[in-house]
Amino acid sequence: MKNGKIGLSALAIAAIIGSSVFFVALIAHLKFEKKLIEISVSRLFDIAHLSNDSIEFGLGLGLEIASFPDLRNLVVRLAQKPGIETAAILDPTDSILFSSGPPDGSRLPPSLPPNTPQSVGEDVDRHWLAGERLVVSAPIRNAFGQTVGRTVLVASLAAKQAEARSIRDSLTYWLVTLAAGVALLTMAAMLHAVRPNGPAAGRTDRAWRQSLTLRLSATMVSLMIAVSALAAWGVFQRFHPFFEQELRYSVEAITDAIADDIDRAAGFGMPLRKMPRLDADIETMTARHHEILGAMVADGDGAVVTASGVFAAEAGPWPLEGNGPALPPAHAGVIDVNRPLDDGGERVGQLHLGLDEAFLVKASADLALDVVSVLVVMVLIMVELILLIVHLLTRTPSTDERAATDAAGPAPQDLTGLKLIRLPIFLFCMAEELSRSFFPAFAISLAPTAPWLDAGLAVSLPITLFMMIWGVSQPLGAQWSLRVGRERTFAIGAVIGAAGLAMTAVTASLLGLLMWRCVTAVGYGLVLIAAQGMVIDRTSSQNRAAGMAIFIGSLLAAAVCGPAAGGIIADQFGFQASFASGACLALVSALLLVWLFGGAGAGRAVATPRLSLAGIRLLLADRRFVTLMLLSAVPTKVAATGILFCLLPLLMAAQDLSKADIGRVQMVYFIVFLLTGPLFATLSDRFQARRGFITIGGLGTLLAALPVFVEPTVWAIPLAVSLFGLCQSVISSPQMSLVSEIARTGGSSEAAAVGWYRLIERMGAAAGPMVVVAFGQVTSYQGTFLWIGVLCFVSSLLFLLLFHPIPLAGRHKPC
Amino acid sequence: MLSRRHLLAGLAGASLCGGPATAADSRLADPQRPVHIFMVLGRGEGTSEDGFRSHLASSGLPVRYTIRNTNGDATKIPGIVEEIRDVRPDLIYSWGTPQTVGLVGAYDDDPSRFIRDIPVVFTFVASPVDAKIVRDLRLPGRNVTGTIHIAPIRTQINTLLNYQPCRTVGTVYNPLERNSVLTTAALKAELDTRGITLVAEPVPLTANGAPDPAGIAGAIRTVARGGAEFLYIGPDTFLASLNARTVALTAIEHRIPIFSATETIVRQELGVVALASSLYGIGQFTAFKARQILVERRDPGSIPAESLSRFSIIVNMTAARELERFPPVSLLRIAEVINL
Repeated sequence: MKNGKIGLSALAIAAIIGSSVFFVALIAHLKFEKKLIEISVSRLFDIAHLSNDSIEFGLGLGLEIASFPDLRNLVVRLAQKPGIETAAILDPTDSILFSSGPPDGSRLPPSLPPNTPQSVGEDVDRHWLAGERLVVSAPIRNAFGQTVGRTVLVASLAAKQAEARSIRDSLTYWLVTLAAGVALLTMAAMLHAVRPNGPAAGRTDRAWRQSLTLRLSATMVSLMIAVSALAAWGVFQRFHPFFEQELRYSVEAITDAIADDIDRAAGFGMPLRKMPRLDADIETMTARHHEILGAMVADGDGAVVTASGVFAAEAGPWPLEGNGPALPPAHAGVIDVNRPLDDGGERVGQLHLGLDEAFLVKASADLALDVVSVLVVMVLIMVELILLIVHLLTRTPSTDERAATDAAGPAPQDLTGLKLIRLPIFLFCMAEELSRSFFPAFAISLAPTAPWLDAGLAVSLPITLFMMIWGVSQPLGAQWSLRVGRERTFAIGAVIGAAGLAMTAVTASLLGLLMWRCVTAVGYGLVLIAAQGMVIDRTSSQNRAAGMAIFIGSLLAAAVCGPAAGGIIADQFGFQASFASGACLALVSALLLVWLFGGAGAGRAVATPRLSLAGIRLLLADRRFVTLMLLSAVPTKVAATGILFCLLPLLMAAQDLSKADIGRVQMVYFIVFLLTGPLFATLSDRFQARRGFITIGGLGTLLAALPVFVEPTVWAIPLAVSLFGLCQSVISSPQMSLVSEIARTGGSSEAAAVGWYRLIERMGAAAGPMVVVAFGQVTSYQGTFLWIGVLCFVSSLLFLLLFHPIPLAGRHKPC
Repeated sequence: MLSRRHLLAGLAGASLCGGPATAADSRLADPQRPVHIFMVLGRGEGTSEDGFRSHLASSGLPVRYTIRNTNGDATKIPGIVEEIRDVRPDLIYSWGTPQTVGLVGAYDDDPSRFIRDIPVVFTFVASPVDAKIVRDLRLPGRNVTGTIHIAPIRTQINTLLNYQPCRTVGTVYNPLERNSVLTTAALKAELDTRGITLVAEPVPLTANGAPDPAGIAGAIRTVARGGAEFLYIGPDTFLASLNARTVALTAIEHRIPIFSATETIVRQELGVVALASSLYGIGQFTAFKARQILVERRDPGSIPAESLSRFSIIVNMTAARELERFPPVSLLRIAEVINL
């Protein structure tokens, strides 16, 4: 072990921890900024709609909008609300009819987006950012629904943005110091653990290696979690006062609107206590605002007229002077926002709204989930990195030599060289998985560029094509990689994949998307087959399963990280950024592979059996193989890709859930699969009940569909997906084992049987999205989930009935 | 000639309904000639005609009007049909059901007695399908389209119940007005779906078969005793226009608030609340359809006959105070409040 190598490794781990802290803080910052704008937008629309109501009323009376007597006063009043810089009413050609600013419109943003109310009811609410200004535009419609103008409010974000910048600057200083400190600490810990005369000195045995990996991972992971949580908390603390003010403005706008209604009624001579259904009206106006916990109206004597929510138990009296008494201690966490009610100057009562102080904390729950996703991703990346580093550190000339000379396969249990492949596979697969959560939404956004294609097909076709090309490229790629070398095939595949992803990022048409997805699929197929080949080349039959576990492990880790990370990137920066990140990751994977394996490898490839037609003929003659394929392998994969990659994103997007949410739920599936897969593999081996496991998994798929069918809420969907992951995990290992057993007892080559099994299974995977679209044509997304559950249920029952248990050795065909 | 044709095109593009620029290729043989619109009215010019004229004027279309008024006398209509055949206007504006049926006939009438080759826009026709003016509101399919001045019954009931939730609603109607009989049936069907009881009472007839004004008070008394919490007055000429005062005073006497589908009884008498078309707005909407025919050269048979999508809620606060039946404060935000 060289000190330089240790230092480099410590630096890499320190960099990962530092960047984790940085990403968490960045995500937190972006989230808060977005939330702040959301609150401002909602408040501005509340104000614009209330003002439009009165304008539209006037239009109904027959006034032309340009001839309204008091609109100039109205816009001036609007511009006096907190934070609003300019208010204006524009005609359909965007000429200014009334403006609170100078008559030349110089305070309106120069570039208003084109307004094209060509047909009745087409124009809608819009908002956009123009430099440091937030602009909202709400159409004004006449009595027959035509847009005759729009109310435009311009709010300056300059002060807020300046404040946000100053927060960011001070946070950056604080965070850089923190990250640097953590990185130094990490390096020190690493160097201590593996210092030349320390506990690590000269030790290379496996037990020690495992213990070092474990200790390093545990220390680094806890350090990373602690510091990242601290960083997120720091960001939250700095933003909090900001929000409170914006939220208060938002509630004051509602308070004003309700009070205006009551004042108007009082002005018509309606006594406060005779106003019918005041509680229901207030309820309607506050319904959209979850931060308002209750409302109360007190009359001129302070007696309660109506009270709801947190005020429901109040009896009064509530003096009209000042803000009234402080809320009783039972209302801790409620801010009393109030306003006097009057009838032409005469005080008739007081309106109180209770603002939830904890609303901001609740709003941060979303942020917390994002932070957790980032941490999971970072933890998995770091574990991959630590594994790599520990093996690099403990690789001795003797193990390298053995790996290089023993062409028939290294001695059992020595997978040192092989473990280096984990990180490149992980990175490449993650590159592809990044788009998992939003791919259907992305395809739909491009669907208008191919009007000849049904929108459902626009979603499913790219996924299906990808699966098919991937499936077909595997057997072809296997032969090719034998000729040109596994490592070279991997690197070429990764570069092709990177190119495909990069071009997907810039494509603007569905046709382009289809084309570049095919290119990506070729790269993906080459990388996976090359990686499998590398495992086979470096293992013997004794330790091949362990080698494959390394390969599958990094695939699954990538499947956990990819959708969650991609969802967050897409939410914050858009689809393109996510694809571009994928392209970069794929390139890094290629470079890493060349760096780790460069030059080595070629020439000792072990030939894998071809997928011969003779082989498949023998297999097809075996009724058990056919039954297993048609009634279990294919339906299972149809459900897997159909539900996970196609239906779930569509269903969740229809529920208005974000791409990050979709990614997190897809992550749940793989976490369940990752955690329970080994357990079921062991259990099905122990009980030798493979048929039973496969049947239970298939029947259970219907059960998994139920929560979503009953109520597709934020909680039912993850529950259904967890159950679904569990079912897939129950089926996965026994299915593979059965294929091997069938081959053994039927006289086929085991490798060929597995090869054909994978190919057939992948065709099922390709069909999955198409099946979803077909069901989607006749029923809802929830119904589709249920129908796929029914499909799995029925095929499992048939499988149970038709698949005869493996007979004793020697009996080739069941009767 | 960067003439009126181009000017018209520009205006059409810039104005509310934004017709395609090719609309400049107007049906008019001579673009310099103003469009000739022939108005057939039933009670002289009013606010809706102002709305009609103003909408066309603001769109820049030069118009020449010919006005004929039947004053409710249907026997004048055949003469007007003859005159229209002579002068051949570009478009006919027809006010009210009797005028419109007299001009264009029912769709299954003998075509020779009616105008079938000049586009007609009607207004103030409560139910064009029942009157057999069109078969399908969405696709009139002949030389006729227009606007309906009554809000859909569902919207009316929504408004009534928003003012005050009820379990029993009463109505009185003139059994000789086909329109009123149909409205009462529709009202019953709508209230049935909501589990609300309807107490409906026809106005009694005199010995010579005409509705008896002296019988109105008795009919309202019967409805009030039937437990009605609100009195619905439909688009019934006899009750809502000719005898509005009697209806309103009797209702106040029995302390039962009036909801009306037209505005007169609330605006001029002590009806409490009305959901009515803005007269000006309905005129503008009719003009919008006329422009679709004249400027965009659309076939009237393909232009749907519609009511406004927004109506005026009119609240008579004097009556509300008198009965102590106040509207919810949110309704006041969008209502026109009168008689302070």
